[in-house]
Amino acid sequence: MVSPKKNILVSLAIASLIFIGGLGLGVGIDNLRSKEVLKNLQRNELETESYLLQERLLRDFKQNACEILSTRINKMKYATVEIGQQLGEYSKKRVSYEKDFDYLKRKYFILEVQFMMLIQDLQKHCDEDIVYILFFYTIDNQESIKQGYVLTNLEKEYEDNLIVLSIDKDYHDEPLVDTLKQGYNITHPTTVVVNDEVIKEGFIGSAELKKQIERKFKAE
Amino acid sequence: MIEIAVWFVSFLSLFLGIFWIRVLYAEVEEKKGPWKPKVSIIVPAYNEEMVIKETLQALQNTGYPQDKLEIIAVNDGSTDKTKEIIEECIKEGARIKLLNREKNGGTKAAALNMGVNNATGEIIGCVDADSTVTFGSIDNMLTYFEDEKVAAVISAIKVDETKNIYEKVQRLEYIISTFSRKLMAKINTLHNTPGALSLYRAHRLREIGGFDENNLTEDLEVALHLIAKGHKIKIAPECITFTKVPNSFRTLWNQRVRWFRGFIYNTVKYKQFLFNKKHGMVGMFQYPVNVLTIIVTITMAMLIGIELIEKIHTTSVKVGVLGVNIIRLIDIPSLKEVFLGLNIKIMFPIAITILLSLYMYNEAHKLVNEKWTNLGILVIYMTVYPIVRTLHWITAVTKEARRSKNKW
Repeated sequence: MVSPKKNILVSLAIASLIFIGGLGLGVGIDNLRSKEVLKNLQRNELETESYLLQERLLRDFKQNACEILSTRINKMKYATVEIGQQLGEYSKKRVSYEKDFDYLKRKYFILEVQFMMLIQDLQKHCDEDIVYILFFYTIDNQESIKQGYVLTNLEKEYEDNLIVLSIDKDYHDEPLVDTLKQGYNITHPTTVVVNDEVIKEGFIGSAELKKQIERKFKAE
Repeated sequence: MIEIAVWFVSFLSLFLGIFWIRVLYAEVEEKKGPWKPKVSIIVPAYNEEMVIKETLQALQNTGYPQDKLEIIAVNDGSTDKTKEIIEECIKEGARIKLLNREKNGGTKAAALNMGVNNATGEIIGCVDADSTVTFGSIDNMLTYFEDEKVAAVISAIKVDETKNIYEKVQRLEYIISTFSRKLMAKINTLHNTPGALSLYRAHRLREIGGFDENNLTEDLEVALHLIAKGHKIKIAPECITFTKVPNSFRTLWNQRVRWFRGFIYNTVKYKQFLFNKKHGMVGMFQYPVNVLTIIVTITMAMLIGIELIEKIHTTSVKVGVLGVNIIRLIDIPSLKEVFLGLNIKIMFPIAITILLSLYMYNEAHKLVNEKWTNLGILVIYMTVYPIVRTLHWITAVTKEARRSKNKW
């Protein structure tokens, strides 16, 4: 019979090793997640570059660019939303240090702003029924969480006609976020901007938001 | 917070699992030798008219020499026909000594002590009135007394009838219980002498004053008392005693709350064991683990409760915001999404705990020559039953803290 003390120590050592193995597995999955998000971000960057070139070419050839560009914008919208969801979910589940995720998050915000500009450009040149919403949220804020549910639901309801871009109000690593906040004078933890217009600070219910979206459609 | 708690509990489970696996495979030389002393078996009975005859008959048929076996039935103020049935057995020629208490003593210990005071054997056995001792058990259990330090030997316990779900779950529980007692006995930390069948050296039992009559779990108290005096308790897993178990939610609830209250009460009563080198592995390992188990169980229950409330709140907010459209938020994920979406912080410790539990359950079945019979019951045992047990614990802790009246 091994001595009880030795048995306790050996068991502790084995248990620790298995747990380190578990942490290793967690870090491994984190890396796979980062790669997945990065791959999607790169694909989106490529899409954006291609979009810009196509737009330029179509205008040079004096062809009707609106329909083609609108279709492409919609495809990019779903890809952007997916990246946002992945980032949110993976950052909650990560085991390892968040430096990698910070880089991805920053890249994602840049992508969102770039995408917003593409939409604004499309709205200016084409008569398309597209409304975009900038959703400034605060992490773990109840109002923001509720607003998130409403926006996700509306995005599904309006399908291709509504694009929601979520921006972490307190993300200071990317100067673009601060510029946007200053531009729209965002101070409240939850704010919704519809097509360049701050609707109201704080939570906005589904019915009211729908009214605003419909108003924007009519205005276009 | 919940993640840290889950990791801590899982690490503890893993550590204990590995520890016990190493104990399982460690070679321990048991001192065993034939011994045929006079044995007095005490059967305390309170309103046991349905089972007492069967119990007494089984005791007479254990194969132990009749001239060395003294069976003492203690009628503990029964209001049914228990006393008449025992008298009938005696009339039919059974060698049984009947002791009668006019009024029920409130605890089993009083009846047991009456038996101890009247017993003449070198070994005193205690058998619950609803337990059936199997052939050869007494002979085999006595061999474990070869070691002079052994003051008590217990048998394995199996559930007699497994008709409904409560009995089936308890069948599994008793198998695992026997297995864990075997492991504890290997490192001399076994600290319970269940009422189903336990044999004691008579002089050791008398030295400690018999059973504590103010105790809800006198079988646990007597074992701790013996350990405190430096004695050992062994298990004879090859000796099986069948017992009847609660067959309804209410009776099971009452029994478990009583057991757990007794456990808490006795844990406090023998707090001097905690980290006391004098008591060897009981003091340095088993007792701290027991205390930690109570704390962890209650803490986990609270954390899970908080998490559950948060989830209910989130869902109610979603429903409040979206109405019945909540289903629109649900997307069916792809396999890749499922893999990348795995929450390793929760999944890994849970997987480890489940794997370890399954391994231990398998070993427990092997030890008592039982087969895995019902996977559904296993699933209930691993999922629903821990919740019910936690509720037993919370109730027991609350009642002990409020010093609610003890009821046997």
